[in-house]
Amino acid sequence: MIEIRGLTKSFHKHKVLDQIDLTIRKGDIVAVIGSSGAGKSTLLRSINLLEVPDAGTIRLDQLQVDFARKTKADVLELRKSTAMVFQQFNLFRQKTALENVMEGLIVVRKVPKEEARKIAARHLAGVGLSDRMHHYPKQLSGGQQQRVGIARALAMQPKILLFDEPTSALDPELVGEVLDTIRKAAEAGNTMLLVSHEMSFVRKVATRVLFLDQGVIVEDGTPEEVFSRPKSERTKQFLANYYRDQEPEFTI
Amino acid sequence: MPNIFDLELVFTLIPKLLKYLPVTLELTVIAMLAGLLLGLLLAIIKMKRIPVLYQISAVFISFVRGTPILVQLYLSYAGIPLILKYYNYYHETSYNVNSIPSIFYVLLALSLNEAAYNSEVIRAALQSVDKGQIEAAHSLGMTYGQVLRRIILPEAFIVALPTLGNALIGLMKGTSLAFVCSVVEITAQSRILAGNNLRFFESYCSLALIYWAMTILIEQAIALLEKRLDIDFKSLRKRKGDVILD
Ligand SMILES: Nc1ncnc2c1ncn2[C@@H]1O[C@H](COP(=O)(O)OP(=O)(O)OP(=O)(O)O)[C@@H](O)[C@H]1O
Ligand SMILES: [Mg+2]
Repeated sequence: MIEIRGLTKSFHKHKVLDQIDLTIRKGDIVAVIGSSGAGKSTLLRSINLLEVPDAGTIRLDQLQVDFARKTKADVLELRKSTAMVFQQFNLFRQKTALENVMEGLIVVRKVPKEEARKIAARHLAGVGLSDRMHHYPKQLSGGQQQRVGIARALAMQPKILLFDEPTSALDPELVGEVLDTIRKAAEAGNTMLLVSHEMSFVRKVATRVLFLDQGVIVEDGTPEEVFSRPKSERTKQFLANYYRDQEPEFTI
Repeated sequence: MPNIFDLELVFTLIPKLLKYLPVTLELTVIAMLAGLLLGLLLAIIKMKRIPVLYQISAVFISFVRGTPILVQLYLSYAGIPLILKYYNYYHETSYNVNSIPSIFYVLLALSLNEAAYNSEVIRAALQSVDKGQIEAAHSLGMTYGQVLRRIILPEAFIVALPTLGNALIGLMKGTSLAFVCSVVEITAQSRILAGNNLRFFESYCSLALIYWAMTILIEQAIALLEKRLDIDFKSLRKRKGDVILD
């Protein structure tokens, strides 16, 4: 279980996250939606301390960290228990797909090399890339790169997977394969926090949806509740805008 | 026709000079390795703006860039014995200046010079590594040292390789100044041989040919290394290796 209390973060004078409280149970698939600049990325990046919050606490099972008083050991421990999938994939360019997945296992989890190789191969097979293990990132398509990114995250067996718009940098025809991979990981029982603009995907896969607006969670419920019966005006507006933009032009 | 230029002598002198090639190579290799390590340290100090060390390294780099390497060799050769004398005086020890091999002075001056010049190249290369990969490595739970060693350096090395290759060639040629610290390498030896047979031009021709050949060799080695580090080439080899293993 993950418990975030009073998470606050400002950039200069601008408050990006304001006293966020969030509890995520094991196996939850939590989607975060909201307009650009709402603080979605900052929320995710605060959880593994790529961004350092000004105040707040996080508890991840036994590990309790006060952001204002974190130690180096806290940072490493928190990062070991979480894994992030990035919008821009962020694969290690000088390493093959296999080596990308092995890296964290060997260096961080101290798994012996041969075993790490087997685990990595298994995870790459899981994302359908058995035949691309010895390719380097630049030799892979965007969708394949992102699937390697997902395999790299899954191999670490994190307590929570953090996805920050994992399909936004992809060509439309490659989005499907990545979403399928994420759905499979969700069905396998992983706990996830997912920022996405793919509303129909969120609606199908998420067990819970948060609407983040100006650094505050203004809506929190099942996909059905948030999409069909939004409580706040801001959410209604956001969804209305979203559906209007999605409508194909020829229906006008 | 009088034997004004003895072409044959040029080639008979080459083996005699080559006897001292190991000294040239030793100076080059050690100064390069030390220069790379220290250069990396200076680059990190500059990037992380570590107080005090940052200011010291800035002055050091400015000094090295602002003085000729020949003068730096003089300073090393004349200055280190003084430091030793002071050390003996304050610690009541009696280390002998003559026990320091003269090659030490050359290595010290060349390494420091190389470090100062390399530090800028290394810093630029380190900073060229995109932030995304570094964030990904951190998000896995790697420490800064691990990220540096496993992710940043391998990528930065490829970026810096052509420039560092040129630095290596420059250094190799720069070792020809070692004679000012009375180290005998190929240049000093060519002067000794010339002094004996008074065939200065022939001797220097042999010397020039050796440096030229060495430079071409280093260039070729760097080009080969660049090719081996090329991603398509590496990938091909790994895929082939996999077939053999299966
Ligand atoms: N490193 C930073 N320095 C200064 N301001 C920042 C920084 N990172 C984010 N911000 C600001 O914080 C706010 C929230 O940014 P964040 O990236 O979390 O938004 P987001 O919800 O992920 O938006 P998007 O949908 O565009 O990705 C924005 O106004 C942004 O300009
Ligand atoms: Mg974002």
